[in-house]
Amino acid sequence: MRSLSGGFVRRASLLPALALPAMMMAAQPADAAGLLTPANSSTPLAIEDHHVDVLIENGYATTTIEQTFRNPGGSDLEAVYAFPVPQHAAVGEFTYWIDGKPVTAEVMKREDARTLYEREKAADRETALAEQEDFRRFQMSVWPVRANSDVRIRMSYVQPAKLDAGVGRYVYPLEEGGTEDAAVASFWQMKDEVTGSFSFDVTMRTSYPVEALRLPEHPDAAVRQDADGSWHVSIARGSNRAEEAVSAAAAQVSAAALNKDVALYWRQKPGLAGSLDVLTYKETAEGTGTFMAVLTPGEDNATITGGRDWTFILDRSGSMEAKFETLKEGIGRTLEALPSQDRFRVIFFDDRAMRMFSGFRSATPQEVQQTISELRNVPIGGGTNLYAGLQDGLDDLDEDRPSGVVLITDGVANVGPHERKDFVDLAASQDMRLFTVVMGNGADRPMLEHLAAISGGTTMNVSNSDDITGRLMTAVTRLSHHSLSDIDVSVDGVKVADVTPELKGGLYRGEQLVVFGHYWGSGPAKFRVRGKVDGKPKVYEATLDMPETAGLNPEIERLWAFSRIEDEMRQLAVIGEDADSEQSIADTAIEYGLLTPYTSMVVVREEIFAQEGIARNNQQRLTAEADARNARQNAAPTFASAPVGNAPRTHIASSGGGGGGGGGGGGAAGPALLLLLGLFHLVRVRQRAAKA
Amino acid sequence: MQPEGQSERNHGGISLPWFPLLLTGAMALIHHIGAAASDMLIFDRAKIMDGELWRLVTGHLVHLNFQHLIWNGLAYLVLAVMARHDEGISYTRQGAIIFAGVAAIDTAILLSPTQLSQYAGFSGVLNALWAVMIVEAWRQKRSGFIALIGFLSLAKIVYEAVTAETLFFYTPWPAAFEGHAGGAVAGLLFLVAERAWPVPFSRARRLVSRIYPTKTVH
Repeated sequence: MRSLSGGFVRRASLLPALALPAMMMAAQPADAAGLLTPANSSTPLAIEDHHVDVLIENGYATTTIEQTFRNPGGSDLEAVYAFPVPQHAAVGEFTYWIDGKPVTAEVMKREDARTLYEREKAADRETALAEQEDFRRFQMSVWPVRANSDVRIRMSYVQPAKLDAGVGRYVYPLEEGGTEDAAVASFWQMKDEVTGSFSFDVTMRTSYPVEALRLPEHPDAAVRQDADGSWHVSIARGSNRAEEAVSAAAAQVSAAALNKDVALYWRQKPGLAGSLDVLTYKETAEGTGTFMAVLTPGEDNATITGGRDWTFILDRSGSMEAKFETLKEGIGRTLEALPSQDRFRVIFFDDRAMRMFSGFRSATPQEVQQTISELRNVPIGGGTNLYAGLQDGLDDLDEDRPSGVVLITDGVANVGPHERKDFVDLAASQDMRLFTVVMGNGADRPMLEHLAAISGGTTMNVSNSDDITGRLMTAVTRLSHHSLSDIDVSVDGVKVADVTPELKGGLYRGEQLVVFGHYWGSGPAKFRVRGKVDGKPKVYEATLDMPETAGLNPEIERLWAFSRIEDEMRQLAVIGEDADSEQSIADTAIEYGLLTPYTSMVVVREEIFAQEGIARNNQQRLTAEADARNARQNAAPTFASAPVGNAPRTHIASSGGGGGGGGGGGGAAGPALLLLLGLFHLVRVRQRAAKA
Repeated sequence: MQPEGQSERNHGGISLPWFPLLLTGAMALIHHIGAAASDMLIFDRAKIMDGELWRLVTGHLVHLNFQHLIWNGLAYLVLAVMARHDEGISYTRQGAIIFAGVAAIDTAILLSPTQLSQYAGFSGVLNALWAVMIVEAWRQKRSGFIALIGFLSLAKIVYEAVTAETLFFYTPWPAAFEGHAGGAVAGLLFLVAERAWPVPFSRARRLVSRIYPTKTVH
């Protein structure tokens, strides 16, 4: 069997077209994000204020959330706060106000932190604990919430801010996961109204010009660009923040319901060349430096042509009920977009898998219309046997045709095999490209991303607040060209080690490659990114200066550490429990101040920190990061950049709705033609003079 | 051959190059409006196939950045004025050559095996005009220098085809061989057609000249 080498032809907008219904269906009312619930009561505390500040700079975003809760009851309570965190976001701060002063949490091994918290609670002293339950469950416990009093907390996380086809996307998650799993659903109890004020403020400063920025689902957002090129977004509701930013449209939006993700897009100016950009942080000349390298290739890979086979695996479990009609409509539109030389089949899964028809159908108008007609009668219900669906979808693939498998789901496997290792073994057993469309905040995103990666495919996350057209266009750009596979990154000139993440999967049209690493020394460093495009070697290289010291971006240390931890977590998910790996994750997380399933963040009174001999490392780190953020406001960018190749970056504006083609072309008359014209003129003048 | 624009030639006065100025002004205006206009007007294969046929024409007036616009606009103004004043190629005739160039380049891009998805810039059309100029000059005086200029022009196109780069100049997108080669071929075909069917060409030019008589400022 031949595999789809990284992408599909220009008309085959399958993943995006499938993402389209996913996004449309996701437009259902969803329950809220974080809430503070009394541990021994089902009545959540009131959210007084909820303020979000986002800073998007070269390559990464820092999100700071500050909330105030109120206990309206007459007795003291212990409260549990659950909150969603975006994938690839490293939670580095948890702060709890004690005696009116912010006290920052320190990171400890999970069991040690829980023990300390329980001991402080038993002593009736103020304490707070942040824990990660699994890939999506983050929980904070606070003691005590005094009767008729407020509790104020703050958390922050950093995450890479990647571009896709020239478009950046940031999502602040507020919605529940959308799963029928009762145990999980209970986690998402709602208390989604802010009684006081809500604000969402974004500042964006990037070295590359951003020509547009928008929040399609938030018409009340006030967006402005300053003369220095920076962008500012403000959404404000409630009593006391930035009322002037609330447009008339905001009056139509429910007062301050935190039940909808905030999705933000920004679009780079088109025509920028492919580049390698490197951010560095190095405290001392002799010490260890950290770098974040971002490769944005030019659009220089060939298009994919020829007929392919598509397998669509669709989740029709009960959680999809409100969304299924839209999904079916989207599948129809997807099939209509297929070129007629392609073939397709459709597989559904609930408690078991079922093929809609035997074999493949050609993507001719007749076959497509017949399938669309048959789709209307497909019922839904039952559990989520993801394994059965995937297994059926990988069976009977034609070895003589390129194969692409598209899996759409919004949930977590709860019927049949559900260990990640089972899925990994299954995906690795076939030579095909798996594209996963992950809907909402409740699906098992890490696993679906991992499955796509090991097959050389790619993943698309879809929020209910996503811009359907925008996401569609962005994704279209991925699938029309060959991808870069078997990627390897090397650096010559300075000593480099600890490069992360593990590079699996392909780099698709419009995608950026982001890697972190450590370096020692300074001077020119030649970065090489090697890979294969359609089986042929391809190299991107650029020489950049690695500074002796660089202090403006300490956040990339956490990003490096978190990427390293993600690598180890993926490994753990495959091999099962492993004490050495778990210890390694805990060590890294404690050193860099990160919340993981093996480390927690605990707040106690300052004197208890001192009494227990707990070093305030995380507090120091956060202070350094805050200082650096302030310094960056007035400093020139420390972004080292070099062009790679001559082709321009893929840009959404140059991708077209149908996608693909052989890229853009232009070329100027340039100096050469003017030189020739000058020469021509001289010759003609001489000729005329001679004639005269 | 007597240049067709002979009747429009300027005899001692200064003729405003209104046609090139208008066209260059249109290019500048599109560029000034920015992405909104470029997105609407650029040559985009998929959108053309969806029925947005104006892009076949307007795509040649869209430029990728200011430098791209300046080089093409400057070259066009110089080329157009030289073509008229040195070779006697009237603006009416230039308009016809440009039209032929646009048609040929669009055809070349749409049929090209490289399946170029987008195209922008006026340089392809300039090659049509440039090819006509060189041949006209060669017809008037068969000089080795003119042959050399013709050879260098051809070499420039070959260089762009091989390297996908514009000579002495960086553009955000790779040089489109189809555009420049298509333009040059269009210029040559235009001359062949003009010679093969002189009567309809002559009638068309007279008709245009009556509708838009050339003004001369003394």
